Amino acid sequence: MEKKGEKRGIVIIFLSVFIMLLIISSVSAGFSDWFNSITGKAGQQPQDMSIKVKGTNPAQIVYVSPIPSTSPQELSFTTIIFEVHMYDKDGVKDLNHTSVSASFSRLGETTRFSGICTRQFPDVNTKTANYSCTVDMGYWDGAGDWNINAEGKDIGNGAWVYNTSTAFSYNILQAMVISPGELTWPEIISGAVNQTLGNYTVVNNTGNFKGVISITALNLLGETDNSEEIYAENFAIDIETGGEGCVDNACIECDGTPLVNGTSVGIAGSNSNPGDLSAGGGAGQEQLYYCIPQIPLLSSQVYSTATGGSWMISY
Amino acid sequence: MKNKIILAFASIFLVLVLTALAIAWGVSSPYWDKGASEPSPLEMYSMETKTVELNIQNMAGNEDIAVKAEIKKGAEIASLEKDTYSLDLGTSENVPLTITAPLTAGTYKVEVEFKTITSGGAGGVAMGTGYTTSFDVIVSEKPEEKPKSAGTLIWAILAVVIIAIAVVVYLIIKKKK
Repeated sequence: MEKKGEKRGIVIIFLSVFIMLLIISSVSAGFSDWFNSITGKAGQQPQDMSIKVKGTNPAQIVYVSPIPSTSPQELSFTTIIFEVHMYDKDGVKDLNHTSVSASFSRLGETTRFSGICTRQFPDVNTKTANYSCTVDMGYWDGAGDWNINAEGKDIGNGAWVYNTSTAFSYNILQAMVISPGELTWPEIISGAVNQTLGNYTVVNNTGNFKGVISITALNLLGETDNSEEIYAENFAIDIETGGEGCVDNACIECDGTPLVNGTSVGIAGSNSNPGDLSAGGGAGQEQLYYCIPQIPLLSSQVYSTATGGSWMISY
Repeated sequence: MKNKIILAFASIFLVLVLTALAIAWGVSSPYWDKGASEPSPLEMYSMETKTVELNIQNMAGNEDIAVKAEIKKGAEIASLEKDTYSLDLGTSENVPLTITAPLTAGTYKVEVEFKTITSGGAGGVAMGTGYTTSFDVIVSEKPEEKPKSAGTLIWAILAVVIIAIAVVVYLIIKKKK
């Protein structure tokens, strides 16, 4: 009996001490401080805490909207707008919304870049965001298939991701601006040879066609007596010149491609030379020089296309 | 000499005025056979009809233009709604070109010529511009559609019914136990 009583007592004592300690620790910041001040330990201060959990999954470019075949615009840039969707298993908030961009590339051509694509609202869903991308294509950019590359990354994982599975077709544009100015031959003597023009025709390629330049000439009929004519075959054309005042064989254009009445003739060595005309230095240009190698024996009058029809420069 | 033809020393005042015309226009096409790194032909099935949208542009010149279109090759399979187009400065217009593929498979050429309509120009030589849009049309035979097998469908339905009966029987037996 006494042993039981002793045990009970010990239990009560331990319980009391435990309860006391519990009460002290819950209410006595001051006591703790006082105690710590004795021991030299640092005092306790309330501390705000926040924990940001970063996603570990990488983003994915899951969609690039189809781009229909697109025509260049004469002497201008063509703006192409399309959508890109980026997905992250960790949610839209983990996406880096200023990382998305796109580019168009083709072998042998200058790559075209979009800059940063703009986020669009609403999001596709809680894990996929929508972005609008804009790329400008030049009028001289080559016709054919262009590869589309879209890229972006997220915040948590940080790895760059790409989508290169799509492409679009850039159409062909045959376009030019010709500026012959007012071309006049100097006084020509019947029977003379190698009469060159004082200036030349400039063909500016305002599209992306790459190929030979052709010319269709017609006989020039006399305006006073239209039974007389200067045959187209009396003319020659070349991309090179012997220069002003050239004489005989020095006049390269007089040995150029002979013209044929009513027939499209490819000018030997010519090239439409697509390029950025604003760059200067001959980019996008070709020059054509004319010559009458042998002046025919004709009466004195004006010979022109007034009744026969115009000449035509073509691609 | 009466019969003497006095020519050799006669001066011919030959004035060829190539009038300066800032003619600027163009034609765009989604199909071509030249002018780029590789051709872009149109692919069709026999007896199929497609409309190819060509596009005439007058964006970079300084005057309105009139353009004449003419099919030079492939008239047996290609047709235009009209042959004359007037474009104000700063505008473009689609030119629908309808292609009907023939019965016989093969490669056919379509060639359309576009040229400006210009006056002859008294006292000078008027210079116009033109483009020939050409491309290949590759015609192939349309693959035959396989007819749906009625027998296969019936067997599939039978299988489902048998499985359903078996499940019901199993459940009934199980319940009795």
